[in-house]
Amino acid sequence: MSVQTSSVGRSGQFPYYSLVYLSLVIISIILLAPLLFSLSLALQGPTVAPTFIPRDFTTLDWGIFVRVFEDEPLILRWILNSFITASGVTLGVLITSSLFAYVLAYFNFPGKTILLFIALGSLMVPFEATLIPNYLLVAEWGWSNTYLGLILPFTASGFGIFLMRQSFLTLPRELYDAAMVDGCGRFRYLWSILAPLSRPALATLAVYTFINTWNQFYWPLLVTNANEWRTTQVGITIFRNFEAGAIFNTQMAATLIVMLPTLVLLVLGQRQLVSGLTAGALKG
Amino acid sequence: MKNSRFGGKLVLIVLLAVFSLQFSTIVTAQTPTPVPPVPRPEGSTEIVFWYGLGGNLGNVVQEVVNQYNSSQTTYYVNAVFQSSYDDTINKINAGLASGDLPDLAQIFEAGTQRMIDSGAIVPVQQYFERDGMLDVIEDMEPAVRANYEVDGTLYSAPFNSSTAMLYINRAAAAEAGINADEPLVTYDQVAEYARAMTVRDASGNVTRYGLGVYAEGWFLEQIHAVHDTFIGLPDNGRAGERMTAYNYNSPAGVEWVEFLKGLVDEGVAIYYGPAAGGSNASAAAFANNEVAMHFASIASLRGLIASAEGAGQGVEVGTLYMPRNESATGKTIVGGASLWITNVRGEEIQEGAWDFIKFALTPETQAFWAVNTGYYPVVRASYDLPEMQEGLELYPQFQVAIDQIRLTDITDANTAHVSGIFVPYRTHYVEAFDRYFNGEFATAQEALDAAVAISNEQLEEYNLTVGE
Repeated sequence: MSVQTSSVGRSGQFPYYSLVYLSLVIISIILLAPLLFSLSLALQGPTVAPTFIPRDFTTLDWGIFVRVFEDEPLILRWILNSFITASGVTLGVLITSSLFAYVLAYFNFPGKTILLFIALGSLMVPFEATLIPNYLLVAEWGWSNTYLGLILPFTASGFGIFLMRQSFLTLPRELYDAAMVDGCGRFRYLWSILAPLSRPALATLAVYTFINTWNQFYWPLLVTNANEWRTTQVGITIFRNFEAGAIFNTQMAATLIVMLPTLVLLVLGQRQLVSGLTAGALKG
Repeated sequence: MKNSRFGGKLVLIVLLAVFSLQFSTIVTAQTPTPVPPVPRPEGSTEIVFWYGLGGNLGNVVQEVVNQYNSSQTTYYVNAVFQSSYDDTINKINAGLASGDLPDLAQIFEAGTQRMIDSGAIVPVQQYFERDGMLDVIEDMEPAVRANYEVDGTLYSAPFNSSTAMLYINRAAAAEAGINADEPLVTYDQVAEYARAMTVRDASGNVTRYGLGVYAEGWFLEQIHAVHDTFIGLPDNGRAGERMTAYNYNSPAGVEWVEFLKGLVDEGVAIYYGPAAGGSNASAAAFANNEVAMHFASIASLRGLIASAEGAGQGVEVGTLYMPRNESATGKTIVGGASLWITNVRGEEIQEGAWDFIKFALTPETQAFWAVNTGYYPVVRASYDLPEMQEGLELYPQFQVAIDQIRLTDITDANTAHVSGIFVPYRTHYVEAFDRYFNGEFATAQEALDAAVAISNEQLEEYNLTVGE
């Protein structure tokens, strides 16, 4: 869009545009290659010797996608589990991060710096170190095979707090004072003014958290013990052949199927995301 | 502008919808093999069974469990897939503290020492003795039985067992005048075969290599067994004393790595990289007639035959023993997994787990398992059954694998070693192998010395944590 408005005579720019589009096409092919390769592997039947481009396009095995569902009808449940878990964690992180960051950015009280450093310190402790204690606690409370067990341990994030604090600090303090003078409450300021103005940061945090949670493997494996409580990442390992030779067709078909919902979401949400990321960039 | 963008999005959604519709309407000739669990009968006792085999093999596991559940109503085995062998034992380790353990678990032989050390298991030997079923142990394939017997006690019931083979393209062998019917081959013979089956085009570029090479710890263990050399000291950890040192910088280990490197340097073998990736590449090349020989488990036989047919390059799959020095007197070991009973939920549950093991070890179940997967039946009585004999007629290559593990008597040296750091040791070896092939070590001896040093350090640490 910006390219079009800045160029005056389009016809004179033909070689320039064809070059741009050519490189865009090449880049998209490179970016899409893993997906196309997965599709190609999925369609070539049970073989240890697939090729990048199928040998014979007439014998492509499209039924593999149906067989994935027949083989594991639970796959829809796994997708749902992943969705609920990832959405739950995302919502939790957005709420806890904004609240904590709001306190850190706008209020003065003794020990504030220490609180900030505790939040940042949690970033230094690797996930692996807290994994077993977390697991024991969750198992003790009987939260195995529940959404609570999948979601709760991740609903606070040191990274999120820091990100939101930095974002809140970029907004002029006078805005807060003006709102207070006009009789705005503290929660209302956070909800009606701070949050909308911090949409870029919130969107970034949401996407980052959602994808991270969606991709979790070890935690869901630990706290779920029944096939119907698996998340997609754990669930689809059931399609993996090993010991008897690596045959990839069902594995790749299943992988593509579990990717589809996130792709659709991305297509639908792209505009919100992009506008969210650039909103206020110029008004600053 | 706004409209056209919306239109683009709409097109994309419609495309996706059409695409997914297409998936669901096309019906193929291939029959699906879904294996849903059978429902649990009222009043039955639930036995939780963790297993680590996915894909087609996992379907057969579920099928065996279904057969058991349909055969009686006292117990109900709830089979829960745990992602892989490795994840299964890691989950058990994590569960030791919380008590969140299965009643029955399928564990690979790499986990034997760790399961014994967990203190959460009951050796199956005592049930065989109590029920007067020692004849079943006697009937077990000796090499398989030896694998799960530590210091005279059978700790777990073998379930799926395989061994390593050298696969050869019989069509290429015939062309090169090689007798692929004689399975016992020396390093020198395999080198000759590789030279004879390497094909170059007019400009001298290789179009088919003699051998596909990749780094894999399991083969190193096989080679030590074949050469009657302990890979772990003392006695592979099997004679009552815990293993304290790795020994794979032995002459047998060095000779093996040098043998492979020599063929690659000569240009008659090709190196495909470490572990899983290398193995996949080598298997694909074998089926595509790009290499004439390939190392793999006998369990991959069917996959390789089907893939070779699918590739249509005229590859005929044959099997040979793992190669050896002329002076070697041993045989290969078996790998695979076994069933362990845990002691967390009381006697009644353990009885149920044992009841399933009895079912899993019947000649009929083992024949069903072997015929549908390509593993050995763990009890020899299975070979008397007609379905097993039909299977052997269909896959004569499989007989070679049986002969290979029956080649000599069982000793501690030709039985898998027992170690608390089985999986990490393999990683260290594979890394050193890969670095040697990439020219980071001058000699195989140097590479293996380095890997053994790290392994021993780690082994010592493990032994300290279990208090010995």
